[in-house]
Amino acid sequence: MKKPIIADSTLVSKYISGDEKSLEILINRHKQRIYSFIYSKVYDRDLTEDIFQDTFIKVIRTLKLGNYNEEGKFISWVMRIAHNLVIDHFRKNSRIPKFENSQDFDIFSVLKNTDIDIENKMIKDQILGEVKKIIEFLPDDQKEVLIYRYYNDLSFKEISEKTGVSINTSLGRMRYALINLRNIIKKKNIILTT
Amino acid sequence: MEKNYFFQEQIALEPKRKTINFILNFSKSIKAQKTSLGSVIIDLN
Repeated sequence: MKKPIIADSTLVSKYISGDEKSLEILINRHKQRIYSFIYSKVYDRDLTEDIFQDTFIKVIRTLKLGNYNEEGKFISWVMRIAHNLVIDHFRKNSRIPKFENSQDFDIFSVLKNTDIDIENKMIKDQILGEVKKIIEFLPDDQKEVLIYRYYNDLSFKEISEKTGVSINTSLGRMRYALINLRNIIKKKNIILTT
Repeated sequence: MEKNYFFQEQIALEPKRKTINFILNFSKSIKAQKTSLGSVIIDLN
């Protein structure tokens, strides 16, 4: 027989009353969603671990101090904390989450996002979808470099090793990929802004 | 078959076990205590 699922609010109450096991259940229940959310903003595993950890340290302190105001869902509250910590990180580093790029067009400059509200998230997801669709129009060699660089975060050295071409060729393909992307966007009259 | 470059994105994104253990140990290592100025966190270690 399946064990009944204990509601988050019940687990929170039990944790506040001293049941440490409830915290573990809450973390295991929501860890993927929270971790993925943070990773989607910072694109760095180590940094994601740090922010994930800091998020729960804040959660724990707030709960133990009795400052948790249970008006909304527990997960929404935790996600808000994670989001604020991501913003703090970028503020501290005086930069927005974009890739540095000396090319004349940085595709990720259209993806910056400081709001968490659902509407913006939907728009952002839509844009990401559009970008992926546009990338499909690129020739395979250009598509390959662009995806390795931006989606898999590989250096040009790693890309050249993976694709068996020189670093200069990889750089050239990236340049053409970005030029072509810009042309496709212009030709199809696609607007990629939030 | 066409190569799917986006496939590498489909990896499980979850924290390391040691991160979770750190959080759980942190939770066990602190305690809130009420004072005249309000609640404060006490480190039990």
